[in-house]
Amino acid sequence: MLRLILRRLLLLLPTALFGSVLIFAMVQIIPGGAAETIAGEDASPQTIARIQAQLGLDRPLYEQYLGWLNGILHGDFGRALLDNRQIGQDIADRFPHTLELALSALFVALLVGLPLGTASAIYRRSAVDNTITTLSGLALAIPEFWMAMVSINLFAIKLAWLPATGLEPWSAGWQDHVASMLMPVLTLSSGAAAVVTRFTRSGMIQALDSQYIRTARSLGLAPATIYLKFALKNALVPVVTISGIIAGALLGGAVLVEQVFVIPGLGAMLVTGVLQKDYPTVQSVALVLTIAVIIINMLVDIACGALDPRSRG
Amino acid sequence: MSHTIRLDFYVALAFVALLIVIMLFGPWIVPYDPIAQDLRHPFAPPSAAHWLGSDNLGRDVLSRLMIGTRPALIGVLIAVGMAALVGVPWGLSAGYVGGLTDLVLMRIADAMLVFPGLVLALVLTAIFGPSLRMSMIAIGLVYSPVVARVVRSGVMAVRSRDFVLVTRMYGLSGPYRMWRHVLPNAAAPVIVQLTLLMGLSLLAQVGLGFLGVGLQPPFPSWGSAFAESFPYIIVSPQATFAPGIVVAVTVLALYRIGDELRDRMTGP
Repeated sequence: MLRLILRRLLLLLPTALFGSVLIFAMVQIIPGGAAETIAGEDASPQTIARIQAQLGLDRPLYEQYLGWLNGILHGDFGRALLDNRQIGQDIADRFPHTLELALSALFVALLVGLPLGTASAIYRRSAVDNTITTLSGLALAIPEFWMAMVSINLFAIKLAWLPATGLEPWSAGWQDHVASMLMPVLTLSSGAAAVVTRFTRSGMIQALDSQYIRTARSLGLAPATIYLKFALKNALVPVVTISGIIAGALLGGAVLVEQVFVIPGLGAMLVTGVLQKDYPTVQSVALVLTIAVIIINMLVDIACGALDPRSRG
Repeated sequence: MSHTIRLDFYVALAFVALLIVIMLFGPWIVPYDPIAQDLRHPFAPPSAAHWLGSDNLGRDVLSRLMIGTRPALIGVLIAVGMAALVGVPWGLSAGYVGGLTDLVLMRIADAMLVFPGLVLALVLTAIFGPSLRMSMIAIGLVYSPVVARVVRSGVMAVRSRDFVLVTRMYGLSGPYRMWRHVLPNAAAPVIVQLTLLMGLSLLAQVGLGFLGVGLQPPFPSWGSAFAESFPYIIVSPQATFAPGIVVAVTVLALYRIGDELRDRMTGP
C-alpha cells in the first residue's frame, strides 16, 4: 500500500508537467496571440512587435515556457492582459468556491447514488428498480444549468425558500452560506448522482450474482451483512474508479452552474478570459483545474488500492 | 413489457425524424421570421398566435427553436464526425498494432479522458474564436479517446480470429485488412457509442451556447435560447422552459435509440 502511494506521488509530477506543456502549447497556436489582443485588431505591425517585446513574447518558446513555469512555482501566475490584475491572487480568491462546489456535489452524488444503486440492484426488475432507472436516465438527459434555472424559478421566485443567486461567505454565518450553496450543489450533482447510481447498480448486480455471495447466503448470514459487508465492498471499486472522472466533469460543469448562480469561482474567470481572449488567464485557470483533476485522480487510485488489493499492482 | 419498450423506441425515432424534417424545411414552415422583433409585444405568454410565447424582443420563441434545430443537429454531426475521424484510426492502430504503440496510444487516451471536456473546449474556443463549428470540433476531439477505446476493444476481440488470419495469408496490406475486414466486425459497439455521444455532444453544445461561445447572436440556436431568456426569468419563466424541454427530449430520444441499437446489435 505504501509503495502504491509513493508511486502515485512520483507520477504526479510528470503528469502535471505534461499537462502544463500541453496547455502552454495549445495557447501558442493562436494566430496573432496576446499582443494582438492588447493592441486591438487594427494595430500596426510595429505596435504589435513593441508589445510582444514588452511581454517577452519575442523570446524562444522554451524560454517563455520555463519563465511561466518558474513564475507559477513561485506563486506568480502573471497578470491579466486587459485589466492587469494579479492572476494568482484572483485564482486564490476564486478556487476555493469552485472546489467547494465540485467536491460537495461529488459528496451528494455518492450519498444519493450509492443507496439508490444498491436498492436498484437488490430489488432488480421491480417497480423500485424501474423508477430509479427512469429517474437516472432523465437526470442524464437534462442539462444541469437548465435544472438550475428551473429550480431558481421554483424555489427562489415562486416559493421564496432560497436565495436566487449569489454566494454568501462562511463569515456571514453557516446557515446563510449553506442556503446559498444548496441549489448550486444539488443541481450540479444531479448528473453525477445518476452516473453513480448506474455504476453501483451494475457493480452490485455483478457482485450479487457471484459465487462468494451464494456461499455467504448458504451459510445463512443476515441479508444486511451480505449486501453491505460483502457485495457493496466489491461493487464500490468501479464506482470509486469512475468518481475520478466524475470529479473532473464536475469541475467542468461547475463553470456552467457558477454562471447561472453568479458564484465568483474559477468558472466565471475562465469564461470571461475566453470571451476577452485573455490568454494568460485562460492558460492559468486551465492549468489549475487540470492539476486539481490530476490530484483527485491520484487520491482515487489510492482509494482503489485500499479497497481492492488486486489493483495495487 | 417488450411491447412498451418497442413503442417508446418508435416514439424516439419519430421525434428525431421530426427534428430532421424541421432542420431541412425549417425556413419554409416557421410561423414567424425568427429574428423579426415586435417590441410592442415582448414576453407574450403562450397563445394560439404564439404557441410558446415571445421573448424579450417580441420574437416568436417557437420559430427561434425551429430554426435553431439546424445548427443544433449539424453541430452534433460535426462533433460525432470529428470524434469518429480521430477516434477510429486511433483505436484501430492501437488494437491492431499492439505492443508499445498500443500502450502509448492508450495512455494518451486515459490522460485525455480525465481532462474536463468543457474546460478543454473553452480553451480551444479562446484560441480559435467563438463559433459553433470550432466549439463542436473541440467537443469532438474531447470525445475521440472514448471512441478510440471502444474501437480498440472491438479490434482486440476479432484480430486473431480465423477470417482475419486468412486475409493475412492472402498477402493483403495491413491498412486494407484493418479497414475492410477488422473494422466492419468491430463496428457495432462503435455505432452504439457514437449514438450515445450524439446526446452528450448536444448537452455540451447547449452549455457552450449558454456561455456565449457558440453560434453568435442574433442567429437563433438552442444554446443561446438559454442565455437570452435567463436574464428575464422573473418576467417570463416559460421562455427558459421551452429550450430545456426540447433539449432534454432530444437527448432522451438519442439515448433511447442508442440503447435499442445496443440491444439489437451486440446482444444482451
